[in-house]
Amino acid sequence: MKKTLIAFVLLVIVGVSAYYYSEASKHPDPLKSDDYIAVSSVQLYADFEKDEVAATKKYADKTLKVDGIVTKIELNEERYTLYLNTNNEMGNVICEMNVSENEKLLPIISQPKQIEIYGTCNGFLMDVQMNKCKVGKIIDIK
Amino acid sequence: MKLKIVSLLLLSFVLNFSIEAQTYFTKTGTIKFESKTKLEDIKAENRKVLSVLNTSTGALSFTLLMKAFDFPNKIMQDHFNESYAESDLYPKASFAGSISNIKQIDFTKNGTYTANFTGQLTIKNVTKTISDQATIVVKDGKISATSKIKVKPADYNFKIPAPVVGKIADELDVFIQLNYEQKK
Repeated sequence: MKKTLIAFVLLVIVGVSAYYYSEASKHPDPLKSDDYIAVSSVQLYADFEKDEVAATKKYADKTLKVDGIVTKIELNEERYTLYLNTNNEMGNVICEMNVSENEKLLPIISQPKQIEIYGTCNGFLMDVQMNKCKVGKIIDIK
Repeated sequence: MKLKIVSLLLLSFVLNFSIEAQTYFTKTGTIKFESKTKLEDIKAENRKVLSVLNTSTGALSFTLLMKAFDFPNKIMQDHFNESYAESDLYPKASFAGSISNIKQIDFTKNGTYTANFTGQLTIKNVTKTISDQATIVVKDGKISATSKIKVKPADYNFKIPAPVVGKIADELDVFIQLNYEQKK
């Protein structure tokens, strides 16, 4: 009886740990995060250009909600990458989109639009880089 | 005097134009690595590699942000950035080198060419010379380069803690794919 109980408790511990490990292994959905920094693509780029170290501290690894105008779209191996405007011809905010967003991006492909993107900031390399991005809102430009 | 200035301007324009015409770049190159052991397979991919290729001189370089490596498993990604790569301290990795047989590659003609490259690979402020081969494909004015190199984490000051030894391979397979566009 005692042995059965110990085995049961061990099994529960292993099960719970495995569940928590598998949950912790998943990347959080940026759209479900309440803890994000909202910033325009122009401001985000300007902050990195002004002081890369300070901006990296402020934005890297954080979930950002970035809004900007899409200036270029690339498709690499079924994954879209969007370039957002910065008012600076040297660089953009480059957003690597999740493959899950492909359908939502179809209206963007035919015509440039203003977009709101949620994703993780990786830092600055000529451009501000973001990955794991998802689409928030798409706004028509008049 | 005026004529001299005009001709100088013209010359610099022509030079500038010809240099730019030979410069190809990408901001969305891919570098992925794989570590395979009996205990665990680890892979990660960076799809925002910045690379420049000069088809005249053969100069080739790339740079990437360590934090832009995307791991399917978040825990592995956190460990990589915090413990092994120490990405806050060493945010970038880079390569600067050249293709030695650049003259044998005809960038104006469709085809598949083998390029021999040598250069300095810097990760975590440790610089090592690497030499290997890449395959360059020229198709309708578009240039792409692929290569597979081996990188030993221990060479670049990656400290693997005792409990994880055996889960991370001594040598990583690194796959490079760069699809260039011409600088305008």
